[in-house]
Amino acid sequence: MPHNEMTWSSGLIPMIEPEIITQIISSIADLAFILSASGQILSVMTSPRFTTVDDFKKWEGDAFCDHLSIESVAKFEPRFETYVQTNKPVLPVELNHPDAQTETGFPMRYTFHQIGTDGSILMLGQDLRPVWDIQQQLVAAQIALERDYEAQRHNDTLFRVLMASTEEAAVFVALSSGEVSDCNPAATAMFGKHRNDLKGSSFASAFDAKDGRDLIDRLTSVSTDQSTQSMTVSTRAPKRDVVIHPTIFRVAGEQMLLCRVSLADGNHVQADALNSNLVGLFENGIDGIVFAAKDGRILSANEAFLNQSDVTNSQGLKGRAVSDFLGRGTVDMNVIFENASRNGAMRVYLTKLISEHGAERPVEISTSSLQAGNDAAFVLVIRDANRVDSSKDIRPQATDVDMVSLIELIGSQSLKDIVAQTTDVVEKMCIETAVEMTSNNRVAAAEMLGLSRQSLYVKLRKYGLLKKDA
Amino acid sequence: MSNRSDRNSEAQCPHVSGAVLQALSVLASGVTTKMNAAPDGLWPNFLTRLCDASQSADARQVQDVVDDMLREGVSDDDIAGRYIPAVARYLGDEWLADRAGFAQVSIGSARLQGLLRYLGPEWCGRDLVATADAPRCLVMVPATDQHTLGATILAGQLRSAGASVQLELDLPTKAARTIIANGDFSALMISATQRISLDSLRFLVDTIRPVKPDMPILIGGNVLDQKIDMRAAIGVDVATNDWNTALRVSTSKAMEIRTASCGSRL
Repeated sequence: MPHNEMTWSSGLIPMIEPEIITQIISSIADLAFILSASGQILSVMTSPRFTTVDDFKKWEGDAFCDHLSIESVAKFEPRFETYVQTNKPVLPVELNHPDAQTETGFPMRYTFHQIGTDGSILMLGQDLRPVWDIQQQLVAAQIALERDYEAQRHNDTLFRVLMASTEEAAVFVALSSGEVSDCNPAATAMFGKHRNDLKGSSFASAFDAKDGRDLIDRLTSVSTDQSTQSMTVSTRAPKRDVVIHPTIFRVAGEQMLLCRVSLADGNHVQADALNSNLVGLFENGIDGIVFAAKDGRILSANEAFLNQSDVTNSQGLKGRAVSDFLGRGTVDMNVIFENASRNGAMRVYLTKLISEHGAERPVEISTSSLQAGNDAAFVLVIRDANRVDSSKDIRPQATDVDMVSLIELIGSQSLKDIVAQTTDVVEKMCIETAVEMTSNNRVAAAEMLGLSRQSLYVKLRKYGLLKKDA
Repeated sequence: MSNRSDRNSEAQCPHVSGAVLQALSVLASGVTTKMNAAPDGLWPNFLTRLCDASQSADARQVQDVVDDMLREGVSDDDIAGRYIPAVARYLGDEWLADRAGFAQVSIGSARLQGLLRYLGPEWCGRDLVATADAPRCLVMVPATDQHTLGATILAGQLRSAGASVQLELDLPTKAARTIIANGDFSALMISATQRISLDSLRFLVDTIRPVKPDMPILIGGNVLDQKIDMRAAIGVDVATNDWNTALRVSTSKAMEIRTASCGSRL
């Protein structure tokens, strides 16, 4: 007997009169159908608490599927067919009937029961509209929430644009803690710190020790004083005199200060220090940086790359092909440039860098495609892979959960089988990656993997990668 | 001695040991994973845990799984754009097979929606302010086709890529017409399920088309599972579930408009 069928504790249920059965069905089902083995509706019965039978009388003679929504037909047909053919219990099925009046239709949950010997099937339906109503309320609440988020997002954008376009430095300070809660780009330029470093830091610490003492108390006094509206203090680094105009206000019960800060001499701090920072990064960065034209000619390279490649001066590099310094020469260069052109950038590409004296070192190259005037160019950031901390491997490490699964794996198979399968998985991963990196250029992929073209083809077929590539 | 030698070889080949760990995890996951096949590049174990947590009695569990995923280096973009849709599809399949009831699936979907907020604003490019010439997309879910997850994820993905997006959920056709007439969109993206009839969608497209005849109209969502030609059936220009394709269509339209406006100024 199937595990999901009820059993009587003592003996069998006695014979039940047909009219009693109708009463029982009416009390346990909201809607019941008798279907022929072909799925045609032979008869309908409704519970008085659900609706009157007249509403469904006209369904008689129709195919049951004609009264189902599209996705419900796909659920019903295979389940019904299985039940008719096997006569074994199947899971109850949740279906949706379209309804011209409500547009959304009404959902029901049906169970299947063989009755008699003529193949007809009784379907007992339970009204799911109460659950549906709750679900609709849930969705309505989600939609309302999302609309709030959208409105908040809109206001955030306005706030951001306003803050970014204000030349005066603006800093929000929580009165209770004295910490910066937000600031604009002019403030980051004024205090020489990144926004994330300023946020959460003590506002007073940005000023000279003597000015920083009791700074918040003094700003509060100034903000409430009718006669003075500002105070002059000195910033710590870079050192300069600034004027602070504080405004005190409350938000969500917390007292805040908006401090507008300007230079005492009336000038504005140049907010955009990006250019000088970029030059600094190029000149002093620890990773090699190479700008190359799309034909592979080196346009410029930094000091770190000169060290990596053992070239004595940058003039000696200009005009040379970047492929001269890559382990797999033009194969590497084509793979990198092709991917960077296609996707705008190529993350961490592993290869070897060949120095002027023939020494090899493993490197990771990240490449971005740039537009230099009318021409495309590439910037390659080359990191010595020997120095890369292996704990910061880009691949996710096995987690605790993985270890649990590993234990189950080890218990289920022999070591020999696990090693054989692991080898296959690693091989497949490497081949997939090589094929992807070379844009399905099998000659280049075979060369990268150190395989003959024929061997690569055999392995592609072995792992079912041929069809996918095609 | 041999231990030290082992450690040395591992230090020299961190990428190989990483690949082996991943390979072992792939094999191990076959023991426990609930899904027939995890989509490419996704951790089967995390998918399984997310599927379980989305239906668990403890609402905190989904957040715990996401915390673990972030700790293991899975990006918030991947969680929102790949893992959550995969779990949503799993829930849909469970309902189709009647292994999960309507109520369970509804609660699971609501939890996944909540995860998008739990991930924080960064994944959907909240810090980005779209430039004036960025593609402008209207992402809408038609009224009565009440769902939120797919459209919210799409809006986040487009925003991360720099597009300016207006997201409208449960939007009646008349209101859509007004928004499009008053707006300046490079594309309309309709997110729809199979619950909404093709006739309703056809009516929506037919109503909107005359307002902005040149604006591409795209459709996505599980309505595409019906495998019918949506262009012929409801009159849209593109039917896709790939947000990159959707972005490309709106970007090329935005460029076309920009070029035309430059031309008219000359």
